[in-house]
Amino acid sequence: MKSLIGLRKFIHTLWTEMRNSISVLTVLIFVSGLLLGCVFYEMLTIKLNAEVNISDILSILVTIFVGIYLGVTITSQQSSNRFEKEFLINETKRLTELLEDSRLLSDMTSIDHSDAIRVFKSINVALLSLKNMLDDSNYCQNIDIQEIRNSFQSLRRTVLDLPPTNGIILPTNSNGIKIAKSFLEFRRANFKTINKINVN
Amino acid sequence: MIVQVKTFSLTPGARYRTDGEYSGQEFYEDFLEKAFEESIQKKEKLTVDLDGTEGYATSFLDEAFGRLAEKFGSKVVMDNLEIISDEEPDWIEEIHSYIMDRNEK
Repeated sequence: MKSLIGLRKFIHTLWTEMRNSISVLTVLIFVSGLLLGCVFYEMLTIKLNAEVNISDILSILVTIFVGIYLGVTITSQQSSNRFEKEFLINETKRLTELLEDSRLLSDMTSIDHSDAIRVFKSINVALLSLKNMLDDSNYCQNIDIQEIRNSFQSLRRTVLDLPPTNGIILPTNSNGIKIAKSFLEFRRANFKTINKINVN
Repeated sequence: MIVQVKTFSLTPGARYRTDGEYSGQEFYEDFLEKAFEESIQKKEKLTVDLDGTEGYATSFLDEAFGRLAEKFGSKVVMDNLEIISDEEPDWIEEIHSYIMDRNEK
């Protein structure tokens, strides 16, 4: 008798908890599903075997498990891969942004020598940091940034080999064109690396 | 022996004295040449620490280390010179190329 009262109390508590957590929408969906099931059952002309083979059940369970496992694993891997790629792409973009934001090359006829030295150092430090991050990454360790490094060194040499006058580099027309070409090569190398990261 | 460029200047300049203050020529003539001679006499390697400045012009480094190679020869300089550049490690390779390009005159 005592155990019956205990069971009743348990069912009552369970029902109260469920009633609080189940929304009207859930109940509606459940009831609709039930009704649809009944309708289909009535309409069904194919006779189903009441006996089910245990190997079929196991097969279904394994398929469901593999499906869920693959879904969860692949989604998580893709999301982690995307986060890493976006981060590395932003770090690569920063290399040209450092140069563009400094407005160092906005006037090719007059470049401040000390500013140029500072800006090129900050880009070089960012380049080293990008290299280290690529080495530490899970999916982009194979990306080589040698082309960016070469084009950066070429641009730096083209600008900083020119002698300043009173602290200002005054490039001739031909030197201005060389600087502009080197800058475009540097941008191109960055773009190619971003593409490599993206399709990796 | 160690030469720290930051004790020469935090803002190293361009190639020649005529280009402005703290040039590669000034660094070579007033610091590097003497320090290298002294280290050779003491049969020690000379270490040049590039870190701690605001950066370098390629012309500054080419003038300083290139002239060292012109005076002492590329091999002697390569054998007796060590460069520290943790902030911008690519300078080490670049300086080696300046040394190799400008051999003893």
